[in-house]
Amino acid sequence: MKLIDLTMPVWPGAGYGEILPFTNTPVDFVEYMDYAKNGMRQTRMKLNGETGSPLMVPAQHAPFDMNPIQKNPRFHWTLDEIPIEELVLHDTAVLDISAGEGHEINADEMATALKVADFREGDHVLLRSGWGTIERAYEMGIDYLRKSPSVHYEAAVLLADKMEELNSHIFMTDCAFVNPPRVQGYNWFLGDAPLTPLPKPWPSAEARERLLDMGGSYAYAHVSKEPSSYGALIRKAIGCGKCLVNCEQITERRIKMIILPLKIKNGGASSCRFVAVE
Amino acid sequence: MVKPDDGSSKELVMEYKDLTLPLDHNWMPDEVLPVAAHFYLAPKYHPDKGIILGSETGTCLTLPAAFADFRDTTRLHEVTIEKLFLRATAILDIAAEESQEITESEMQRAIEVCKVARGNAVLLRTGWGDRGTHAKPGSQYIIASPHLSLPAAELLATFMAESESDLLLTDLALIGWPDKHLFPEWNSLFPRPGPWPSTEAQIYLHLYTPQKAKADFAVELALARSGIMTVKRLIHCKDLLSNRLRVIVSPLHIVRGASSTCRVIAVEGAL
Repeated sequence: MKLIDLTMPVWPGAGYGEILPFTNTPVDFVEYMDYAKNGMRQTRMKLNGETGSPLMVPAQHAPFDMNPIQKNPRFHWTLDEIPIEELVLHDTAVLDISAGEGHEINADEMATALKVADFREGDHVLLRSGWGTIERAYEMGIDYLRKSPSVHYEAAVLLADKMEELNSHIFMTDCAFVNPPRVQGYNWFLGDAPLTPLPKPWPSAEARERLLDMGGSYAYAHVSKEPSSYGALIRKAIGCGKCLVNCEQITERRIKMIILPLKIKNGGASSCRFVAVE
Repeated sequence: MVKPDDGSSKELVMEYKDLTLPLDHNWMPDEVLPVAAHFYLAPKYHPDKGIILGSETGTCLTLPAAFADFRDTTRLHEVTIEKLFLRATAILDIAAEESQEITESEMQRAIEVCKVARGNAVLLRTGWGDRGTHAKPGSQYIIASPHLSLPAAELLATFMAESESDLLLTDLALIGWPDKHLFPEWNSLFPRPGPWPSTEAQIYLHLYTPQKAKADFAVELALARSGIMTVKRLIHCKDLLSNRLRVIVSPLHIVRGASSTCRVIAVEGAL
């Protein structure tokens, strides 16, 4: 039995906490007990639902907003309601689509990958692009996300339909974003009018203004006019995980996955531990 | 499929049990002492939007590195995955009453009947996590927790070292009993102030010296001295029917962290 940790580490200043206005706020640690003063260490951690390698359910903003981010999702479970059999040692198909910097996985590539993958009834699916490595995340900062490969909407729809057909419940990827960065960060860090220098995330003044521009809610969409790839997938899934790492260490086409988010009562998203078992 | 320990012919399928205290934004039972941090989820348009928690909120893993004397030892991101995921585990049963201090002789008796294979983790089951106290209002879950005496902890540490075991899990809310300073001083305040970052907790910790911590956390230090990682505040351990099981301990993957809230799952049956 071989265990492979696919989890992005958590550290203050991590790029994933610095690049978007709302959905992933900065990681912040306060050492309220420390070695010198108290002889021991205790930390107060400020995380976000998308810190590290997150798992997100359709009602991502639960418990305060129980509305799913896409209408009519297949599943309505919050984090603590997901059956444990879905999270522990669940059969998972590896879907290989090698993708480099900035590449948007298209429908043809997705169709080819689905054809050659050993994707069976009830499997979870792990889309491996080869992008996710800890070293790259440490070195690139926010560019790790800005330049991440991603999934084009048409490809996401194709995969979502296949997941429904095969009764597949959880989608995971080592892409840092599922949506193309130009969509996810439209007119924030990319797009027609990106903000330079890049503002801090919520609760910065710029993020608050962005909220005004969005009509007071970021529950359902980003400001890009393009449809959401992530939205297509989360509508058909119990949950989606992204920003995984070390997937190149997986040598088999099918694995068992351990997927353990924090057990937040009525929670919608949390940093999660992803471990592959071969 | 495996045969159960009692030798009967009935076979067991692989079964998973969640031993984790839920993180409830309305109320957490472990926020009694000033060393605890308040857990909350700020609403999405609040400036603090996100997940705010302490490194030992709820069910948590504590490494020896949490203590100054052992700060040069392994940190969370360095713990090899095999030490925490699907690790074979032996159950050490000591039924304990409310507020009971587990003595050296009780520990000795439990050790004598505990079968620990070399390198297994040890799950100390007292029954405290099955009484429902963690789900009731008030501070009983913490202040009435059974706990280990120092001689019992030292005996357990020796036993685990001989077994080459470095992971202790337990359903105790507190492993030791901080009765030299923390309990008498904090409990003398009425009404009891909130956990960190209340003003009172900040002032208290400002005056809480390493010497006080060594006296209050002598039991935890005895375990840390033997290189033992501890997981406390498990629930639903009584449901563990097999005496042969594996556990998954899933902390946050914190760079250079010394402790973390975690998810703990028991896996019974053959992999």
